[in-house]
Amino acid sequence: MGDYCNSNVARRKSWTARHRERERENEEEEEERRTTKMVSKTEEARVTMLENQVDNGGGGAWEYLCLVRKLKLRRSDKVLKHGLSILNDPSKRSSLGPEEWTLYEQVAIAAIDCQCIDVAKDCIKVLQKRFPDSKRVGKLEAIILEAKGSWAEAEKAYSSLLEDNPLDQVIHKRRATMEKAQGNLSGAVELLNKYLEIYMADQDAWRELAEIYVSLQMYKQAAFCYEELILSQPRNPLYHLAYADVLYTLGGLENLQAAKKYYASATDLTGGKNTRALFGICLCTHAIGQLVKGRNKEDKDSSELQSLAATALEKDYKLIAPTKLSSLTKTLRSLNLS
Amino acid sequence: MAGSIRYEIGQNAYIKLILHALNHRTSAVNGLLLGRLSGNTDSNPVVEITESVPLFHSQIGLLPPLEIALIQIEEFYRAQGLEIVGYFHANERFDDVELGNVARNIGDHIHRYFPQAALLLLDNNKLEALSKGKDRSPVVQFYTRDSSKSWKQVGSDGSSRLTIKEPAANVVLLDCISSQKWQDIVDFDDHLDDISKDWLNPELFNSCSIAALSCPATDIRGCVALAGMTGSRFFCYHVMFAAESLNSSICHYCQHHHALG
Repeated sequence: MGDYCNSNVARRKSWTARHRERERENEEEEEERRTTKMVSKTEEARVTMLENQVDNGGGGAWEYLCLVRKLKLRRSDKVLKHGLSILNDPSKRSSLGPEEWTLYEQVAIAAIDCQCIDVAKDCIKVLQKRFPDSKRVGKLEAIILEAKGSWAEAEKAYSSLLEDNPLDQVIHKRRATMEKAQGNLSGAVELLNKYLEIYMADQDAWRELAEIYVSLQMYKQAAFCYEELILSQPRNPLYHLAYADVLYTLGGLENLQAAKKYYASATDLTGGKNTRALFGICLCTHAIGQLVKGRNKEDKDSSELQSLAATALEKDYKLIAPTKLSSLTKTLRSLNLS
Repeated sequence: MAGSIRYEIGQNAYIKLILHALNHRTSAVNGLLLGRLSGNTDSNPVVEITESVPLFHSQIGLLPPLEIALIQIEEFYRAQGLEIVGYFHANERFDDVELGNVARNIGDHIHRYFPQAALLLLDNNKLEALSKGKDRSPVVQFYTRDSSKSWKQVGSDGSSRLTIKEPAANVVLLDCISSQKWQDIVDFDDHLDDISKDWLNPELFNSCSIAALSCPATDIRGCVALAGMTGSRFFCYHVMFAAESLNSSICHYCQHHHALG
């Protein structure tokens, strides 16, 4: 009965009827929102289309909810709204069959994310009646404690759940989330590292750890995380890109040269379509040029790579973003003069 | 007198940044402030922040996208006689009011080219309280760099103050929030993912044209924002509501007719 997909709890104040405040969510978790970057364009387009359709009363709510669950997206306000409309309608609910309970779980988590604790509690009550003594429901209850900010009680709940099931990955990660939610980033890092010693194949966790390291400006450690990710998915261009970004940020000739290689491989893996990788090549060439100025001129095919990237960028901008073409040209010019 | 520089941020620049923050509530966001230093250096210099560009909502601590953004944006606005005059940052967590290292580093970089640079940090508590009070001040914490080379927060009573140019900006902001205008915001991150998206956000305020009126009952100047989709809304400084017809509106507070236009 494994993982949650959307077990994200936010420390959010409640929404008022008329407007939304800027809610900062103490969040994290590999299991989601960052994964929006991992969603392909076609999948994202499908989700958006379904979302618009359901929003405008065109039906397809269940399909939308399933897709959101599968892609691990974080669309809690929509999930809550459309999920509730199905759950509150007895005929729609019964037509779901055994999937009804999955929906209750999904809506409960979305409700927690939107700080509608009462709705979440109602959903959990229904689940408890159906599945008494369920660990999975127990996890939901602990998440509610998190959402209310009762950190100590939530920690107790998780510890007791772990006693019965010490290998539960989700609970381990939720404890790391709690540290991050309370602002204890170093605690979160420590817990995540411990977790990854055991579950080293959990890519979401590696990604989350990398991002925390970046926010703490611990770039070497972030680079290590991305190296692990590239090892596990060598053909995923996003990891190459992120790794190159971190290397560039670290700086120094070796890192810059490596970064350029990874931007180049990202370009290769994306068929030359990735703007960030193309820009990255230009930046690296320029930065390397600055560093080796005065020394022996490096190989000429480094500047060939840069001019190829620049040409590709100009072609794309001319076609797709012509208003920005002159800014782009000036940018490239300032990078070419070294 | 050194240290008595005023800072003034334009309504559109201000609202754009807040909406950007609301569009990505679950992550830290940042943005650039553009403008110019005007007024004599001897008397009443003002840093006018006239434009803003929302930058990123992911991996803010990484250099390459930031460098590209800085170069492109600076090149673009130089043609309009504007330069980068500051930086906006919003933390990931609601109750985090600390100016983090990433923000400071970027601020330092901007400061090198514009010594009067301003650093703005979103204040979530102020934003939340916006609907309840009549606060005209911007919902940010304001930092400048003093001679000690560190970023110091400037109080609202300080000599270098930050004000919003249009006094009813927070009212317009609340309206944008309630009409969920943040969904339309495009930032530089979005642009890098899809270059057809324009980080200038040229259409953002198109459906709102702002005309200034003063309420005859209270003689307070307010702004009228005409939102195309939901008819017209009239904002007297005290209250906002939706009007029925486009020709006139009654302010519930002072019961006076206000002709729009």
